[in-house]
Amino acid sequence: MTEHPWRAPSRRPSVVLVPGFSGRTGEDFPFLLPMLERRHRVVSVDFTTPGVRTLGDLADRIGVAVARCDEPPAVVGYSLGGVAAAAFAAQQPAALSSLAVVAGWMTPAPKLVAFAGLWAELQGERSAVLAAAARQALYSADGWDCARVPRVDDITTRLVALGSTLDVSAMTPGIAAPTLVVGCASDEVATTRQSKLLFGAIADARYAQIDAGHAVVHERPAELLAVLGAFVTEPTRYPAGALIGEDRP
Amino acid sequence: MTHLDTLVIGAGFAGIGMGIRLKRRGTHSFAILERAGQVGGTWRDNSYPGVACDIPSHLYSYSFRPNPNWSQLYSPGGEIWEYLSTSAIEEGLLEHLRLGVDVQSMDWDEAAALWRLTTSRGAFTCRTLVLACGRLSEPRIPAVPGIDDFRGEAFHSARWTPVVDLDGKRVAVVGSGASAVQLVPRLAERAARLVVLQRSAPYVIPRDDRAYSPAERALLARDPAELSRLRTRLFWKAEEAFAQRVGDPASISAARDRARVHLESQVKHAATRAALTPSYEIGCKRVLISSEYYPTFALPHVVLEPSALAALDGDTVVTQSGARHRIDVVIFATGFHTTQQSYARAVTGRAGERLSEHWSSGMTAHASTVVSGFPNLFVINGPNAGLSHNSAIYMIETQIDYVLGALAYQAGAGNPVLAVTRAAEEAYSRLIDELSADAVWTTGGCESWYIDPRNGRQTLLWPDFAHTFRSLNGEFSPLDFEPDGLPAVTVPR
Ligand SMILES: Cc1cc2nc3c(=O)[nH]c(=O)nc-3n(C[C@H](O)[C@H](O)[C@H](O)COP(=O)(O)OP(=O)(O)OC[C@H]3O[C@@H](n4cnc5c(N)ncnc54)[C@H](O)[C@@H]3O)c2cc1C
Repeated sequence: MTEHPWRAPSRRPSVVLVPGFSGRTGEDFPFLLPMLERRHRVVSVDFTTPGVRTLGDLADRIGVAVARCDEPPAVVGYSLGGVAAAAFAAQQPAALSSLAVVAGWMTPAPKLVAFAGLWAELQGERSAVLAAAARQALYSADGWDCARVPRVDDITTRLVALGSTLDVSAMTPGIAAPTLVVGCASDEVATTRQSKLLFGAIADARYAQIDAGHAVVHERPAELLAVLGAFVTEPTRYPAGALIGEDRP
Repeated sequence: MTHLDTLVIGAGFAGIGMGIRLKRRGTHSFAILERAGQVGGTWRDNSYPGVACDIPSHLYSYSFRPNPNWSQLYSPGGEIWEYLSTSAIEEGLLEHLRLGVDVQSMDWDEAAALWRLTTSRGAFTCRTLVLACGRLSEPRIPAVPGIDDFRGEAFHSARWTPVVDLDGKRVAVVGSGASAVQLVPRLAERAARLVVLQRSAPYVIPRDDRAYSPAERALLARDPAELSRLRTRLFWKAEEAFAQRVGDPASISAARDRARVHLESQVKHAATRAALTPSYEIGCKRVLISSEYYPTFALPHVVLEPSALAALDGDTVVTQSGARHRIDVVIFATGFHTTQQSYARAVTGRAGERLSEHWSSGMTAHASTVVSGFPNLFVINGPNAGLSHNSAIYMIETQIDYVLGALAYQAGAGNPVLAVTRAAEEAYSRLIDELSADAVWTTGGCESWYIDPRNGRQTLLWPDFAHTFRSLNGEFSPLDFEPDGLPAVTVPR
């Protein structure tokens, strides 16, 4: 029998938080960021600088944040940020204590490529419907009551385009950290299947699924916090290969 | 003298829930002692017009007894009471219920390792005692001069007296908390004149209530997975509101704006609006939900007195600001004794220590459930087990799981006496203080019933997300218990 992590403050690792297409943690984690900060030191990664053009650039940005931590941190990435976090974990296995990939992917699904294509086309026309179209794709029907209008700017446009090219299938064998893959049941952008492929490919991975669309960070932030909070304080509570059942409150 | 393995005191949500789970495990030697003539607790006692829950019904009910037939998002109190009564009957609890049994004393007998109870209906003994006596069950009435000589009728909202005629009467409601906001709109429909005495203005947000359609109810009945999904969704939605309690500026200002817009859209009269504007931070006291409360104050026969009750003088209600109103019926919607529970005076543990003494500087319990010096005793919905943002039933079910875990452990370990260590209780209290430190009910500048005036500690609420309560306290751990409290009976090898 082990002590509950809350009674052992040593088990509150720093968390490096990696945003998705917005490139900003404040935008993607309005709930998660302040709530994680209650228990952990959180270092935010920022992808808004123009130099970020490749998967290597994304991983480098994560490396800068990780270097600011005293101990190997938990790296938590969402969407594009999750894929980047997986790449970083493969490159520098000793630099992190655990990895969480939320709504990420192994290879860009055809639907993600189509999403990025539509985004580029509408943005090229400076179309006013881009934000509405993106919102349709990002949110599930059940989460529609909390659907926000996604930010449309040059940064997002660049990151969506970059995202649709990210492929970590060759790197996953190098990921050694205990990993949590969080898939979203109604994710029509990254697709649930791609999350499950990451779960299949990463040796020390466990899988949790949340009843939400790709915009899980806005649709089900509290549930995501519960899943992530439990994982970063006790990454190996569930063994590799475990399917973590949904809480039944 | 009746002996049973387990006695549960109180037949509200906690006691009935405990009974159902014991029964379903195949336990037979238990009884639920209830001082009232019927089950239901809160929902039996609160029958005032307008009473309803303010957590969605599909969440404010047992996970192990889903009910597809809730009429409303927030169902009326009568429906909740019926749900509880039906649950007790259908789960076979009638043979375990002892109604009309007021438990007067509960004493730990160290030599026999038993609890000895005296009640209004004879003596009982048991090994395990579960206190499910509630927390909002002792009405609190302000001790003002003249109260005993008041010429009209006066009663508490939780002791509703239907025989008192309200139609065409001059009625005063003392208080502006959760019960008052439900009651006031209904009273305004009947009284000739209604005066509401408000000591401090509450935050009120819209109540987006609606009826479930026949199709929705039939769907939930036919597809239980759908009901489970709905409950899960409601739970996580409710969890989000906790961010407002711990100083997340974005969540707080969103919540405050919601309340302000609600007030401004519903109250046009400037002075009334000013009087209804709270003077403390949102969340410090319970945030109330009502779409009918504010509009009541625009009615010509309704008066808002932004002042506390000072005295009753013959047939007149006197406020602290000096206003006087002649009144036929006074209704005290003044809440409950919360930080000091009367059952604590009736419980005596090891070395003659009373639970009320143990709690003389504020209630404490390890895991919010077990108290050092009080072996084999469990308190449900006691110290730091309440919530202001999510369903009490989730907490109650978590504590029931803890109790069942303890009983299973005892059964497997030769029935040792379970005595939690003082160190464990103190460590847990430190955790509570740590978690409460940044929360709005300690920092928000209000006089809240969550805070024990004797020590300034927040002793009622679990100061975090509900889900962390379950992850911390949902499983019994014998590590927190005295090794020398075990075993009471030596097991032959
Ligand atoms: C008007 C009102 C509305 C509420 N709405 C909500 C809501 O929407 N959501 C929410 O989460 N919570 C709500 N609550 C809080 C509510 O009290 C709890 O949700 C829940 O009902 C508590 O159940 P309980 O079994 O712990 O206590 P209770 O329902 O209070 O039951 C305790 C029982 O113990 C009995 N008892 C006490 N002492 C003795 C004794 N010495 N001997 C024998 N019997 C004894 C009492 O008679 C009572 O029947 C509300 C409370 C009130 C008053």
